Amino acid sequence: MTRILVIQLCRLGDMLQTTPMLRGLRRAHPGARITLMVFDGFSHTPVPRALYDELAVFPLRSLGESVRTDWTAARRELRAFLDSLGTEPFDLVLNLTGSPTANLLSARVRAREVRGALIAPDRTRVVRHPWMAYFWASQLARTYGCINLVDLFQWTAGVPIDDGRLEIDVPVEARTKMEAWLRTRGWTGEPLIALQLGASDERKRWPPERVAAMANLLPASAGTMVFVGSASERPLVGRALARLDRPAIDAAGETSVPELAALLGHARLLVTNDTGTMHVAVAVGTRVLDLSTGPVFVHETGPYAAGSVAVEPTAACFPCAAGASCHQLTCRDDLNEAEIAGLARFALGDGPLVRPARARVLVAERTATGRIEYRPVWEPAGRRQSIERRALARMWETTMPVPGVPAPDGLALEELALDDRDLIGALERFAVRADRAAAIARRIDGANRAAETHATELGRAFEVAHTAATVTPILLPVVAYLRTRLESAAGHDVRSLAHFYREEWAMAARRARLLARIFSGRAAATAAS
Amino acid sequence: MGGETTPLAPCRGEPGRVDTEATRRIVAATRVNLNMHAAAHVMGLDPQPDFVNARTFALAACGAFQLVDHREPLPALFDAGEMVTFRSAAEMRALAEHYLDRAEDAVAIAARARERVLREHTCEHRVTELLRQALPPHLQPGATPAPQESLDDALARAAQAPRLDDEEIELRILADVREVVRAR
Repeated sequence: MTRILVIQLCRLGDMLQTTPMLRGLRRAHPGARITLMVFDGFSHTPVPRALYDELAVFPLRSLGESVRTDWTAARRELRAFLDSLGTEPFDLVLNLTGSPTANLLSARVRAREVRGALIAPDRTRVVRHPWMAYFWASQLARTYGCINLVDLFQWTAGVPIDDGRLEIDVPVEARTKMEAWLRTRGWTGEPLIALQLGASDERKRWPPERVAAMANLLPASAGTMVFVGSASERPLVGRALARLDRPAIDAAGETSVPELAALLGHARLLVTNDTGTMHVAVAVGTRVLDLSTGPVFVHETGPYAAGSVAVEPTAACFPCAAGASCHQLTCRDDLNEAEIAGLARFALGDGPLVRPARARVLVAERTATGRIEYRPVWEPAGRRQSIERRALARMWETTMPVPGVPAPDGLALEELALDDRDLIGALERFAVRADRAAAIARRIDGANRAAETHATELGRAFEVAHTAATVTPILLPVVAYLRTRLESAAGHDVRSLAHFYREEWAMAARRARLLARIFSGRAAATAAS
Repeated sequence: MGGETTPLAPCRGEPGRVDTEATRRIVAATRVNLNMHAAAHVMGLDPQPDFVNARTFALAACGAFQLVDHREPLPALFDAGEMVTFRSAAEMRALAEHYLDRAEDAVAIAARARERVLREHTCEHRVTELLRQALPPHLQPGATPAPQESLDDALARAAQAPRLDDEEIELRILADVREVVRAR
């Protein structure tokens, strides 16, 4: 492997979540030249320079301007960018973005292997690599998402999870400048509690007045409050300051990303919505209390550090879809100021676990396979969803490639048993039907009339599977994954396509059967089989 | 053009030829230039005067006064006050003597001819006419360019291909960038 392209056309947080994967690639392919593709807004990326060899800056802004006035000039600029990637094919392209532009770029660059989504020659979107298929499928069944994006990226790249954290480049000048800046604001080295109010989406924001009310409940000894964020978030800080009953430092709009990192390095705790700032804090080793509301899902993008604490609503509609609009924002009301203040002290190690009336409390832990998993330490009503999610995580780990982890020879899963014979029966029936579909695919041997008949039967089998997932929702991720894989089988001849279908249906059967055994407390034997 | 003793000797370039710049100065300084069209098949003046040589325009452009043998197309190119023609050697001699005596008339006629050439008969005018005849309207000099194909039209055209190719990918990227920027 000599040339690797990583397409990360997202925001600050996404880039930082890519750093463990880049570190793994460096370790696994020490001689490879790694190109990191980012938007022009991140041409001064905070990703440490040691993790990549060259930056490919996709000119979104200038293309956006020129495409409106002279698209032919924009095309010339695009071609110049593509030419700058070189003529030699990449050995591996990792598309971690999934936007239409990223998927098209993945199709356009010359590559021996692409992992992630790309647009196939027949213009369909296909997803390459099992873990990327999992990622796309998880968007169709979000409540069952159970693999942190950071771990997903590493497994997609084929590198083992190390126990390191996110990384960020914090130059000495940034540290020196922020220390001096803090002292001009009266800071004398006492502990700081950082508060991040803004987020890209209002659904993600806990109202600033409530953050201030929460801060008022913390003892003065906990630390001096410091508001962080961008200049555009100053109005939110103004609203919070109007309610705050104690002095605070306002750093909103005062810092570059490295300076923000330097400042957060002085904080004991960051109380935040799901933002880039949250991942910056993780990268500098600052403890995080994550207030997950709206579309935020801690099991996908929660702070990637053991010991981090997250709070999430119990509202039935939580988490909502990424693109949904909401005029109620009721899930934010599931979080209570006094409870969050108590949890801030818990996260700091200064107080006991607080048990909110309408919110779950989760703490990040490393699993046996090295993943970061958010496990509930308090759930106001029922553990079933948590058990199902953990069972799914075990199921995926058992049936997917997990670099650096030997196939499990048995897992202690007794705590995941559910006394639900209907569920177990539904899973076993699904497995039987999926095996039957695999058998149909096995009978296809080249393009002929019989193959057409079998293909029709397979189509019906999928419809039945989809219906089963509607009735038994825990099958949704299994069926969504199956669908993503089958849709990505473009370009095969009939015989190899049939083989692919057979494998995928057989695997769907195995997954359903494994879930059934986990829930019935018989997982150890299954994992070994 | 004369031997080594002539005052024009310094104007000679390669043996037997006078370079362009010297020619320009010579004809401009000459009080009466004789411009006779070539007719190698006969002795005397061309019996088929159906073309005008380039020298007619060159002399006029230099501001040089000239006597031109009769040419049928000439009235369409120059007015009577801009060009003096003759139909015989005798008439040529008489006109030459006339204008040698009336140099100011010759200068005025030559000036008018020069204005006419610069106004209507330069190479630029001829090339423009050539392009006008040869090219479609939207490609002619000075024409308003034809409306450029829009990105959407180009994309629709590219999508007619049986399979996705590099051109369509690039156009689709641009279309997506346009949407992303618009949404912001």
